Amino acid sequence: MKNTSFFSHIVLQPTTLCNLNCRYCYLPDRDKVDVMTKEVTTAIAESITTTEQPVCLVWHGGEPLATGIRTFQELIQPFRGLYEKKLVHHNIQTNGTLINQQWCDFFKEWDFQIGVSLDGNELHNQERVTITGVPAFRKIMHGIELLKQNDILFSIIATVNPKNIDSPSAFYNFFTSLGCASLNINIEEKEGFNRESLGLESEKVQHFWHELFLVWRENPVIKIREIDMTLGYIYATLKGGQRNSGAKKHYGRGFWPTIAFNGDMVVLSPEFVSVDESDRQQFVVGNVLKKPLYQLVVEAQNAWYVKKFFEGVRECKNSCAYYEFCGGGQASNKYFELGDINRTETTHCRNSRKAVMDAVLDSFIQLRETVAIEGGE
Amino acid sequence: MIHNATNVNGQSGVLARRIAEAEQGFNRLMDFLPSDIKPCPFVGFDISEPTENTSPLLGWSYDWSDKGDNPPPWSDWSDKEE
Repeated sequence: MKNTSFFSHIVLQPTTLCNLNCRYCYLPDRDKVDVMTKEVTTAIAESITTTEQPVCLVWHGGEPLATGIRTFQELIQPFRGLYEKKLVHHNIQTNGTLINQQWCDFFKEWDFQIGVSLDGNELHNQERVTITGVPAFRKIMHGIELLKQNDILFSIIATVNPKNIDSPSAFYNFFTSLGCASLNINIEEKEGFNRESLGLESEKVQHFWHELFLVWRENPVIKIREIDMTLGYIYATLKGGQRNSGAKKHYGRGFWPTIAFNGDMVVLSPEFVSVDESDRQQFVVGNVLKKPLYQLVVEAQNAWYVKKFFEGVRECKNSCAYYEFCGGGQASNKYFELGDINRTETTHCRNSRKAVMDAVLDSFIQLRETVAIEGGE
Repeated sequence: MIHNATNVNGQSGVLARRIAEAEQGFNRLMDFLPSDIKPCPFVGFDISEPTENTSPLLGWSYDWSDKGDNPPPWSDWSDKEE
């Protein structure tokens, strides 16, 4: 198997600060104003210069726009030459509330791919609130409207939570009318600072996916990441894609190096920069101000938690019927939910992999049975 | 028709058999889906451990044998062929 780049994607945390206080947020430092410096982005840019493969920079947070436009413009400058040579590509995940015309101009100048976090209509989005508890829906919609006025494509990441889980039809119909390019769905989970999550009943999650697939099938006008991957896997299995290695394309994300505001780096799961301060250092494999990024990633292969992660993946491979579809789960989910990284099945596996596959397959099998009954009558 | 027959008796065989049962419904949907919404054949999540000579691999793989269109938005633009 041909290797992927050590860092085809790099997640950046330009600030820990967020102007929202969503109930299910996993970030413990979202009220702190820690901001990345240009020294950190310069060090990252210098590391990328030595690579031959293009790199996708994922600006995350906190809320990355809370960095402020002037500071952000300074932070991104070291990547100017790489951007012009098409060696970097920018992606940003924002809550949308701080988008103004200046940000839109900036996004266009650097050709950003935009992801906006929004959980649905005003009722469904109630978990996303400002620090003072005011619903953020209208501010988010204002930001989205500005993106549309500027012809900037955006995708949505929606979190399924107690406010929207019972209304998959209204949930989907809202996003079809929003004008987003695609929809990515996360199921609320116990993670990071959000250890006290209410948790969602598995029956409700299964029902959500089942109903969502039915309503999507009736009006398939936008791609939903989870359904698309599931259908794609069924497609590949039926047509023999797994055996046709000559035509396989790999979209590698490498080790997911994630750089905190101060240059500290973690790998495997961006969420590891967001564990409690007392636990965080165990995940830090080094600092980009002290060593080149490439070297840090090479050294990270021997990090204790990377070794444990692959132990767990091996066990997943031996024990789970969904392994080839799933690939072994997420390191951060195993740590936050099960307490160790070498474990196997998590709620994320059940809610975001198995439940989707089951909903789609059950729907197809029911359809076949219905057709058979009708044909027999 | 299931092609990954080597998996039928393994863990993934359980899933493969259910997929075989779903084939008719899947084909009906594919006939109906607009071309820009049709899925690309998604082979799965690739994960391989680093070795002395290879970097670790964490990513998504698609079968591109008969697809010339763009990848889905959540895949990566910096594709590599195997």
